[in-house]
Parts: sequence; C-alpha cells; structure tokens
Amino acid sequence: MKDVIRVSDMSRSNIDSLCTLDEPDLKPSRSSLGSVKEGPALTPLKPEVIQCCECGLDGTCALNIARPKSREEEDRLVASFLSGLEKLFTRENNWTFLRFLVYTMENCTRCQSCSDACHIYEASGRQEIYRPTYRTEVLRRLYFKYVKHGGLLSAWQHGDIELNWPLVARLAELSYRCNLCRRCTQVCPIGADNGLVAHELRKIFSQEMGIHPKELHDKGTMLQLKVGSTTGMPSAAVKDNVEFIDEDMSERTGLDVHTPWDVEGADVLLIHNAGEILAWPENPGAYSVVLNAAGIRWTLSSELAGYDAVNYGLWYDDAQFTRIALKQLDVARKLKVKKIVIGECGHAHKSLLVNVNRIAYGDLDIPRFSSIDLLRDIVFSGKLKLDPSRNNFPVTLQDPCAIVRLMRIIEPQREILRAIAPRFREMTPHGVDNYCCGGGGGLAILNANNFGDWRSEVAGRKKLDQILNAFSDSLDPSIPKYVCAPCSNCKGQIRDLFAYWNIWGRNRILYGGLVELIVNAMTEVKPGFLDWEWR
Amino acid sequence: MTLLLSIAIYVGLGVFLLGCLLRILRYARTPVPLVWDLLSTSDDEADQAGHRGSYFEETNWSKHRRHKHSLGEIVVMLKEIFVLHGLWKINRPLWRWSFPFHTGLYLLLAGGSLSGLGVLFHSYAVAAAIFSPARICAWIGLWLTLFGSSGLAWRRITDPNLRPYTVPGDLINLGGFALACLLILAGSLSRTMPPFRETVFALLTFQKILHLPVLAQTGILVGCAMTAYIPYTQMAHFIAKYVTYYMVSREDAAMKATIDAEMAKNLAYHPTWSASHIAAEGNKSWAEIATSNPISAERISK
Ligand code: SF4
Ligand code: SF4
Repeated sequence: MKDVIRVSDMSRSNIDSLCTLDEPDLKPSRSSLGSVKEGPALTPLKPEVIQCCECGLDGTCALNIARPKSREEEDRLVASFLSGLEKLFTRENNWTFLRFLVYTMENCTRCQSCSDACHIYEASGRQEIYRPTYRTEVLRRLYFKYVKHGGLLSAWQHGDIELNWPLVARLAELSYRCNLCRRCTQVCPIGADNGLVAHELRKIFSQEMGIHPKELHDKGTMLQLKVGSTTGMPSAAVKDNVEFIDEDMSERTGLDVHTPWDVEGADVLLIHNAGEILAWPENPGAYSVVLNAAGIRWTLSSELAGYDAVNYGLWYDDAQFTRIALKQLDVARKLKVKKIVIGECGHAHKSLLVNVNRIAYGDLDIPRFSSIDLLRDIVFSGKLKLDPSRNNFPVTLQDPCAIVRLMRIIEPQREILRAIAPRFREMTPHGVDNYCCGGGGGLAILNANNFGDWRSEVAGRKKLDQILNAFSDSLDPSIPKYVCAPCSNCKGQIRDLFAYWNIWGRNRILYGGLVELIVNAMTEVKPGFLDWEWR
Repeated sequence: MTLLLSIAIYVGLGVFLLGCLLRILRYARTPVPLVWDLLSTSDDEADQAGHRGSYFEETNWSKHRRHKHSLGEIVVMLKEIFVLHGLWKINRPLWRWSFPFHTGLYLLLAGGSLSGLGVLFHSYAVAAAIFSPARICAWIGLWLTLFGSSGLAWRRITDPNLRPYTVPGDLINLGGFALACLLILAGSLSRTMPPFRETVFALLTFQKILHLPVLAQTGILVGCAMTAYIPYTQMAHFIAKYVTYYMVSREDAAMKATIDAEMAKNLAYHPTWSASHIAAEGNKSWAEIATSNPISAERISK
C-alpha cells in the first residue's frame, strides 16, 4: 500500500515527486477503456527538465519554473509568495473574490464529502494531492499562520505548515491540476469552493510573482492584448481566413455564404472563440449559414479583441480578465450593436455573461446572451427547413461546465438535439452533474513537457469513459458517431483525448459543435455537410 | 456556585451572540465581489418547470433578470438546515452522525429558548405548558448531541479519509460538546438533581440557593464555554453561508444602485500587486489598470 501523502509533505525538501502516477492505479483501467496501450501513464520527464525546473509534484510539469540558483534566490521567492498571500486577503488587492475566499478558508468542516465529486481525484486512483481539499488545506494553514498571524492555539485549531520554497513550487504546479469545474463546490453542503482556491492560488503566482503558464499568459492574454487574438491573428488575417471559410462553405453547402464585418447598429454582434477559425473553421462557417438563413442582422467585429471571445484571464489573473472583458464590451459599444452573442465557447460565456456583469455598467452594459439560446430560437422559429434523418447517427452531448453547471443553460441544446438528431443519447451523469472534459480551467491548452499525457491519462479519463459508455451499443467503427461539444475548450481537449487513445481509429467517434449538426440537417444545404474526417 | 453558573450562562450566550454578530459584519463588510456563485437550483421559473435551468436559457434575459427568492428556494434552504439534505445525498456515513449532532443542537437551542420563555411567564399558568416541551427538547437534544458528537469524533479518528485532515482542534470541539452533554446527563440522573423547571428558573434568575450535582455544574460550565466558542470556529458556517450565498450575492437586480456604487468604490482601490504586467506601480487604481494595455510594458516571448 502506498504511503498516505500528508499536507505537510508539500514542504518536503527533496526534489522527488510527491506522488507517481502508476497505470494500474488509474481508474478505469486501460482495458476497460478498450485500449491496448502499454507502458507508463506519463512519458518520463527529460532529465534536463528535472534538473533545471521545479517538478516535485507528480511527474509532470506545466509551468517549467526555473529552479533557484542560490539560497538567497529561494528566500526571495518565498518572500514574494508570502507578500502575494497577504495581498490576496486584502480588499485593495482582491476585492474581486475576497468574500468567497475568506468564506472557504474559515468555514470548511473538512468533512471530505466533496472528494468523490472530483474526476481528477477519482481517475488518479484517489491520489491525495488531487483531493479537492488538499490544496485548500495547504492554503488554509498558510492563511491562519501568516495572514491571521495565529500562534500555537491557531496551529492546534487549524493545523500547522512549514513555508519553504519546495512548498511554494509544488503549490504553483498543484494550482494547475484543477479544472475549475466546481463539481466539488456544487456538492459541498456548506458551499465552500475548492475550485475557487485553485483560481486564487494561480492569482498569487501570476499577479505577484509573474509565474503563469506561457500558453495562458505570453501566448494568451498578452498576445490577445497585443494583436487582438490568442491565435496571434491580427485583424487582417482574421478577415482573410473568414473569407476563405465563406468560399469553402459556399462550395460545401451550395449556398452563397457571406460573413458580414463591422456592421454598425447590427442587431447581433457574434463573437467566436477565434481558435475556431483556425482549428474548426466549419463552426464559424456554419454560424454564417444559419444566421443568414434566419434573416438575422448580424456582424463580426474586426477590432482588437472584438473577434476573439477568449478571455484566459478568467482562469488565472484578474487584471488580465478585466482588461480583456472591458475591451470586448467596448468594441460592441463603439459598433452600437444591440446585443452581443457569444459563440460556442464555455469560458467566454462565463466571462462575458457572468463574471463581468458587475463592472459592466453604464453604456458598457450591452445585452449579452448565449448563441445556444439563439440557435434554439432559430431552430424552433420554422425559418430553417430541417431534415433530422440527415443526422441519423448516434450523437451524445458534452455539457461544458461553464455553460451548464455554472450558468445552468441546460435545455436549449437538448431541445435542438431532440429535434434534429434522432439517435441522441445522454452521457451519465449529465446536465449540472456532468464531469468536466478534463481541459477546463485552461488546462486544455497547456502542453509543456508531458502535460498532454496527464490531461489524457488523468484529467480526461472520466470523460472518455463516459463517452464510450454513451456509445456502448454502437462502438463498432463501421458506425460513425458524434460527440456534440458546444465549447472550443472541450473540443480541444476531446481532440487530444481521442488522438491519445486512438478513438477515431478504433471507434470512429468524431467530435464537433452544435451548429454543424443544424447545418447538416438543413434541406437547402447539399447533403453531407459533415465530412466525417478527423481533425 | 449556582451564581457562577448563572453568570457563565449569560456570559456564554452574550459572547456567542457577539461573536455571531461580528462574524456577520465581517463577511457582510467584505467588498461586493465579481459574480462567481453557482446559480441556485430554484430561483426562477425555468427551474420550477423541473429541469434546473436558469434565466440564462432565455434570449434577452438581461432585460428582465430575475433574482427573486421563491418558495422552492426556501424549501431547499429548510431541507439543508434541518435534514442536511446535501450531506445525506453525498456522504451518508457521515450524515448518520452529523444529522443527530445538528438535530441535537437545534433541540438544545429550542429547549433553551423555551426555557427562557418559561422563566418570563413563570408566574402564569402557561409556564407549565412551556417548560414541559422545553424539558423534552433539552433531554433529547443532550442525548442526540452526545451521540452525534462522539460518533463524529470517532469517525474523525478512524476514517482514513478524515484522519489526515483532522487537527486537534476538531477533536477538542467535538469532545467539548460530548463532555458537556455527558456531564449534564450524568448529573441529571443523580438523585440530588432538582426538577427541570426549578433548575432552569434558578439558573436564569441568579438564585443562589440551588444545589446542583457537581457533574451537572461542570457540564453546564463546559457547555457555556462551547457556546461562547462556536462563532470563532468553522462550526459557525451557518452564519457565513447565509451572508455570502443567500443575502448578498444574488441580489443584483434589487440592489443595482448599491452594487454600482460598491463597484465604483472597488475600482477606485489601488492594488499593489508586483508582477510587471499588472503595472500597478502603487499609484494606479483598478479602473486605470483595467482600462490600460500592459503590452508596452512587457515583451511577448514567442
Ligand atoms: S469543501 Fe465542503 S464538502 Fe469539502 S471538506 Fe470542506 S466542507 Fe466538506
Ligand atoms: S473544481 Fe473540479 S477539478 Fe477542481 S478540485 Fe473541484 S472537482 Fe476537482
């Protein structure tokens, strides 16, 4: 039996990983996932990475934090962490989330009822470090010791912990072993929020220490603020690409597809996750087809941040979050559109429909809603002629955490699928009880070292199991199947998950968005819009 | 000694109420945060239709945001408070102990409140009708609290899921309740224990003449100490939950003007975060930071 990893082990000074992920421990087993894969769960980290970076958590490394070269540097980093910790609990620095954070710190009863709600904890074979409360317990002890300056009595009441550089480095990595899906929060009887804790820890590292995954910061929010999109596409390139998509769509559908740009006073400003334009161009293309066919007065924007609904700041940095969200609203304000509609992107829904609400006042408070609702209204308006038999293949639905659990947009997508996909079936569980795809909280785009293995072996394992179970009556590769995932982040994760486990080759399961199924069912569109090609 | 007990009861109660008040104020005075709450399962019509959806399922929802408290929400709250429904659903083994523990505390609270009422109406005939349910509540409450707290302490020590996260404070908290109940129950079984009504009246009205068994006296003292101590521990989650999740976070529509004013205050704060991309420089407000572009201050690494 493995040794139990204690909270105090985070301060262990040797560089060895706190835990190793051995394949036999992971659940469900490879064989019950129908895989013949062999070898270790994670490709071993390269010796040079282990030598120069802090990888003392679990055999993977998302952040590549450089190992300090001297004791002084270590002390400086610990002092910087401590300073960030103190700031996290002040109103000037963290008015954004202070209330919920303090609540979680001071009220959790450590009953562990939330543990089994977490897919990462479960899939890892219940590795202690992935228990939702583990990182919270570390932060809680630090809070009472260093922020509340509790003495012996406090240590007795809340537990003690030693703050040193190994703990700080491990905590940074550990904050990126959570999908921020808040399934654990949903089941907590008192509403303590372990997902929020991961988010707040990320903020100490980013906002105080300048430590963040490159993919979220340098190639994410900073790039978006510089050129307009996390894809790196400036405005002109986006327009070119969409023009190309229009041509391709016209050819594939037999309709004259044209995407409008920068239409002042339009009824709807549609903002896609710009990643769609590069990775899944048929999604924005299908929106153009459907909105035009429904006679909506709509537009895209070519302004900085106006053509990319992405806001990675939501996951790790309040300053970056507010900067991007306000820019996106400002684009809509200048364009004088009546409403903003968010494309099929979960975290963009959360960012622009929920989190920004209280700071979007005055003329920035432009009505905003979900493209899923709009699609439901269009499908049931009778404006499109739809033939469900064109979608006569097994379809299941991925519920993006942000859209479904956090915002409770549950039925519109189901109403659509029940109307246009005769072989639609649910995953178990689904709706607000869904499991995250394993890519939530920004993890889907993290790829340093062997982190992709971790996403597929651990974070996404539960989702893969759910998908295979949903199609258990039709796993044979002769039957094409479709996972409808109305979220770019989920799609990215499912793409990587399927590639890793060879799901397309083995079972012919494709994934894609919601709007594509609508276009595939439109009678005025040439049959065979879905091309059943792996991408 | 009984005078000391009377003082302890009132001091314990006073400290408890003060602690609760301070805790409420502390949470209520934290700045109004960004919206982050999980949407309630029962705060709008869509949910009443039965599928747990929210107002976000409507196009144009922002024109008529609904954040009203509904009957469904109250039922959810009551189920949570009185039967610990959430715990029952997800952690039955713990619920078996937690439910009697909480019910025991509620009954003690009810017994205590009725006793206070009985003392107020002591000279009226109705007092008898008040003291007898008070006695039953107190009696059952003591047993349930003893049973629940001992069971919870036992689970904390033996359950491999709980043990690594159990600190001495948890055991002292539960042990304190168990000890207080045990001592009072043991004392009240003694032949020298005066009747319930007489005891309560004497204790609440500072009568010196009462002779209580030492066990019961000690139990009452421990109980008073525990009562005073609750609001300063995580055992006071009942207060905070109401303040953070029910009272404040979902009232955007009703409190729009207040929230806008609070937000203006928040955005005027000057953060001191040190990372270069924040560019706080100690003299910029959140509003300035949120409307600035850090790109000139930092190089993009490709
Ligand atoms: S977060 Fe909630 S469910 Fe989890 S241990 Fe704390 S109180 Fe229990
Ligand atoms: S938020 Fe999701 S991933 Fe994170 S600890 Fe909770 S259940 Fe696990």
